[in-house]
Amino acid sequence: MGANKDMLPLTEAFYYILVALYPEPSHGYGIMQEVEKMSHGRVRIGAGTMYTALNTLLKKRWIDHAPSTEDADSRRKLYAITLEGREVLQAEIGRLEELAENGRRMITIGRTMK
Amino acid sequence: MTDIKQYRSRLRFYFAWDFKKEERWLDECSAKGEHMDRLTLFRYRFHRSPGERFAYRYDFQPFGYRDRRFKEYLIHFTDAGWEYVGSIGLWHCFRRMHDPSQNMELYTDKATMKQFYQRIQRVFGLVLLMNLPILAFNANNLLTYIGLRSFSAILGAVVVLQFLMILLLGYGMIRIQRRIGE
Repeated sequence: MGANKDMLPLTEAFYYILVALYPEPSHGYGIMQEVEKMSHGRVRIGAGTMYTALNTLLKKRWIDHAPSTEDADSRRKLYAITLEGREVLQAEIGRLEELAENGRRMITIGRTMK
Repeated sequence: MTDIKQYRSRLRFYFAWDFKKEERWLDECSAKGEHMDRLTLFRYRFHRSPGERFAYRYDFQPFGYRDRRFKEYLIHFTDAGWEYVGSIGLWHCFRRMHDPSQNMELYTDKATMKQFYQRIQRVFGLVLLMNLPILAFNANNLLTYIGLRSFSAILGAVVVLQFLMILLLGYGMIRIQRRIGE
């Protein structure tokens, strides 16, 4: 886990790709749609960014190619999150929670001191 | 029913590192009803169709359209709503219907945009490095000629052209380096 900490923070694209792949493997377009849905349209990952980010994540071995299922379109490559990818994501969620918690706490203190 | 498409061919010179300027120019042409639909080195073909408007974008990958990786690469873009226009070497051109409510960029974060520019840098650098020993060899031959009090015009021209090309590549790398810094 210690080594994973050096990789943080993740870019928003990396983070959301890993989150989208957490439940089940998907292809680039599926990830794109899922991320847009999750963020209520705020995060739209461009095609160049998606392709580049997926290749970088493959190189880091945080994701891997998954064998395509029968119903999936065979022309589209499926991506699956790896164990290492899951660990990195958990570490990032922990870091983000700490950030949000501290921010909220200090805002509350600031309010009571007024 | 007859549907005669009006085509127009335009010659245009530009440097690879000015691709952002090219995109803007193609967008402007499209806004005026002239839509680029075929490209070769320094020549564009446009078709006229007022009322339509496309956004043009260039991408750069370490492979051309004949590469086995290209098919899978293309699916990512067509799925996302991009129409493939064509390729010049390692540059791939896409377009989609202009939509002011959407982000029309291929690269939507700094990290991958930097990687995109670095891909271009790497290829420029590689070509530059490969040219250096050839230039050294040719220049050495030229000096030998001069030493023998004779001169080869062809060899002289080759050396000068190659030297200019290396300077241009170096200049291109600096221009792209500045983009990374932005």
